Amino acid sequence: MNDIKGLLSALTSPVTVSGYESIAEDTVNELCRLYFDEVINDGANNYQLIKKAKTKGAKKILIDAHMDEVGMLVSDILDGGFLRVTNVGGIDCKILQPCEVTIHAKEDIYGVVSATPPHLMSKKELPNFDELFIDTGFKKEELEEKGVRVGTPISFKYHLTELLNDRICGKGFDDKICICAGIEVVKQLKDTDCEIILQLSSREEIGKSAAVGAYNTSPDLCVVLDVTGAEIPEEKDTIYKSSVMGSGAEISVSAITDVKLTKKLIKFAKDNDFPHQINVDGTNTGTNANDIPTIKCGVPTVLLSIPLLNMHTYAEIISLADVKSTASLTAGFIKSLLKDGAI
Amino acid sequence: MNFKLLEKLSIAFGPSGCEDEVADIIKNEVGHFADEIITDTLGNFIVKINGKREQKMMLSAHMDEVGFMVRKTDDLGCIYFHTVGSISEGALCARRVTLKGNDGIKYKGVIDSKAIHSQTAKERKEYIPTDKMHINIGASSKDEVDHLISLGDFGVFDSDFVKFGNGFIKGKALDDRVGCAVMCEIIKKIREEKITPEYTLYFAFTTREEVGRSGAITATEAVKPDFALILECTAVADIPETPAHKTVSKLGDGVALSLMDHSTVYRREVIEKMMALAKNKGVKYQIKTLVSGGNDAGHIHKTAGGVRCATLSVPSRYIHSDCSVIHEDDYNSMLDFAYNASLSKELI
Amino acid sequence: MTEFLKKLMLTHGVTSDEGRVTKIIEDEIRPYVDEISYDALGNLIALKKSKSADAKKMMLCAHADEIGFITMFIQDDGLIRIAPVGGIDFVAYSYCTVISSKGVKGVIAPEEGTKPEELKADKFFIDIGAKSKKEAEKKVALGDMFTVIPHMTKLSGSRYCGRPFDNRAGCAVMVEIAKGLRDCVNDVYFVFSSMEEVGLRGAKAATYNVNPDYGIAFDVTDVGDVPGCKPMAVKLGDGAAIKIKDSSVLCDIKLVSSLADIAKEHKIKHQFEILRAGGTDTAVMQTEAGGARVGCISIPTRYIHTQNETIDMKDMAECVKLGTLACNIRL
Repeated sequence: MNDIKGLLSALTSPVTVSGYESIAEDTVNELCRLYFDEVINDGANNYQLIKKAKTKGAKKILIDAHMDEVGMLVSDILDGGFLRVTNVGGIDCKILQPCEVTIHAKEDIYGVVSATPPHLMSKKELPNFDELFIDTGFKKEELEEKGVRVGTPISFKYHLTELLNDRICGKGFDDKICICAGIEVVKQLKDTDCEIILQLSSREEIGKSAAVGAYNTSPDLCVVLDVTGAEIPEEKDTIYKSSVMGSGAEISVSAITDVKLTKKLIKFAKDNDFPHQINVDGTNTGTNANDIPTIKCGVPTVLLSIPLLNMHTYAEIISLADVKSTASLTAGFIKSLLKDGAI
Repeated sequence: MNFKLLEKLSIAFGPSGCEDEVADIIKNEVGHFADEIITDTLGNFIVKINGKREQKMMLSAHMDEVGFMVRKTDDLGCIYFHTVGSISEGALCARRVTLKGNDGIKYKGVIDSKAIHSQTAKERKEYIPTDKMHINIGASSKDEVDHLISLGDFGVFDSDFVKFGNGFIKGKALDDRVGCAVMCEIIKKIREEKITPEYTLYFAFTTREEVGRSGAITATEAVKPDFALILECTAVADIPETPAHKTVSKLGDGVALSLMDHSTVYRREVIEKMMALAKNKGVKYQIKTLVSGGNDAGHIHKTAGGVRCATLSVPSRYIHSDCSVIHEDDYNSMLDFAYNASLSKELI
Repeated sequence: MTEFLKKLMLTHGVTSDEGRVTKIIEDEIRPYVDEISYDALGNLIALKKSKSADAKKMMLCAHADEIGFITMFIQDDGLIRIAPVGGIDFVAYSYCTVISSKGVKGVIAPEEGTKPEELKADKFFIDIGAKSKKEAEKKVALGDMFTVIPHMTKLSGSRYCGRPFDNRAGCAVMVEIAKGLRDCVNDVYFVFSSMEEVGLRGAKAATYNVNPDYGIAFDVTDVGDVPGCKPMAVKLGDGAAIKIKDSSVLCDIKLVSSLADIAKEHKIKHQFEILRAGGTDTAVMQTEAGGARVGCISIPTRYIHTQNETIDMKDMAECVKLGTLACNIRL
């Protein structure tokens, strides 16, 4: 778990469909042992990894990256060994027919999402989740014996593949790549006197558990790290501006996050030659940065995102260069704020 | 059944027009058993085994699989593609592929498209057309990608061979590597058991079935068989909520014998002989109960003055994707049926 | 339980006006709890204290409100224009008899010629029989709440139809739990929440006030055993439904496992529930005031939010058994 690739692999192999983040508890504890003083698992199932400050009264920095990933839950077991499923988080049905999945019962069970052959389809419409079945090759009774029941989580089978230019392909990078970036930030702030809480938040894909962590910790600053859609040619001609992979962190400007602090962050990135891009989110960031700013008497919050392709699929792609530069920018910015007494 | 062989064949790189890798595996596996090897410009690989009689029986399976061809590259390093053979648009997004680039170097890649977050409400309800997808191998510019990949280069799905459930198998290119594997096993079995078949046998491993301009045409012309048995893989839909008459065949119920498909109406006398043979030898099989698909029989039966044909298919769920699923019982039943057919005295 | 449930069912209590319902519950529950209070939003909070030294806080929550209509405007011709309070399916409510909290009866009807797809609130009016605005104003004031006339009717076996089982059924289950609860390792807060039907509002305040460690909601859930319904594993009569997920919440897996273990160990008939559409107080207990580990025990119900919601009393009994044992959960 020393380098980003190793850490990413350790984080993405346990399957943490929203609400089921505890499956990765061993990895979280190992992270705590390596870089932190304490870990808290709160009622909403967020994990807060805490590195204590050297002096009393030092500033508290909350770095939020969510631990959950999109996936599916068994919603019914049918005769013939097929499973009906429901989605957790936004999954594009276009990637499902067919694809490989793992059903996480007492033991992991292999399955393939079924698909009607095109020449037998009466309409060329996308199926919805009610029309999808998972093909397990077992009988209903065998599945029940193996502990499959309504609510059993299902994940995409994934393969961590290295592409050219230090780009990596796999699943769950949304948002575990940001946990990797968060760990890099913690490493870089080793000698800075502040309390750092790296929150591996729960249920980002379906709700707002992250705010619970902000409520319980009352930080002086919150940096939310998430991923953002990287540019593909099909988006070039639209008003939607997406960030280019390999060109650094995307800084979100919005009416939800802290406007002044965000301006400072952009200036800091410019002055210090950190690669960065700007995205104007308007009034909705679509991330945990929506809920954290209004907790208790208010939490100054900024949002940085790492460009990612094929979001919410089993073939998400990121650039390691972006991860490193995002981490350095975040750490540098926190240091400068503390130095200037700006928080 | 020989899982190792099927696995090797399944993961081999062999889109239509680029079947060499598959042919090499087959050559290594059974080439030395041949009384004669026939090859031609289309890449067909034919193993001849002498029989007691002059009459010729041809068994045929195609080596090619559906795949991709590089069509255009773009400033962001994206690779646009044609599909080679029919692949449903729903089976492309986010799938892993292998591209064979300059100097035969293989690159891992992924098919990119607009993520769900940036799709419009209308786009969310529709399949993404193939020309709005591209293969990503990690290249960051046109210069970089053009240095590694040329227009016209081939690609295939990248997918492991997996056994799961009670006797199920998942992989890519099972259409028609199952036919190739079964033919290899029959050749070996005949040689190992030192049997001289009744008819002279030609095992034709053909090319380009998936693109219609089939290698089977020239293979038939070269062999001029009296009878041809096509070993195939057929799409079925034995999944929940499909009306029973539309499931085509059921996985695990044995190899499927075709009565009629979109390219051939099989001669009734041939069907009856095949059924009689199966009954005689106690072979498990089922009838393909829906007119669907087509295969090399469509070419073979009209070539070289006409050939009597029969088709046996292993039923496959999710065919032409990276996750085709078959059942090992059906493979074994095809092996059993085709082996008995190759040794029979009544089919011609 | 059936008699008390019927009493609750027949009591008027549309969102924001739950006082009559909570009063009946308060009177019933008083002998079995140690403290009773109401908060600013009308939540009834009853506490049964634990003797244990390290007691944690378990919050049980069922909403006391029901959906209905609020009087917004009285026309010169004496007809009353209304707005929906909560998720009203106007197709189901066309031409029903309604009753106001003051006991005034009327008919809710759409404007003549309204196409089915146009059956929205602005097309509806209530006719109380008044010939003029003046006459109507004697009986109904702006802001008066109407509901479809409540009833509880026995069907075959242990099944009943009526309204509003959503969520007087949940309230009745919780009252029954309070009556049967012996000494418990947790302090148990029985919260009968207000204003659930308009977005889990009462429970949010109640959670802040109680600040629980664990939370279990009691509410009705949809079923997947009627013709043409969306696929769903829950069936009427198959026992207490342990919620996994609805559109507002994904329950805590540790608490869900505990509930499942208890049900298995004590042979309580149970099933697991994934509800595609619909939210419950479970959601706010999870994320309000520092977060709690939450679950929900649901009562399978057919035809929710119509005048003939249908439940099975046997399921109710299983919910009571499971809920009672669940009060002792420690994670």
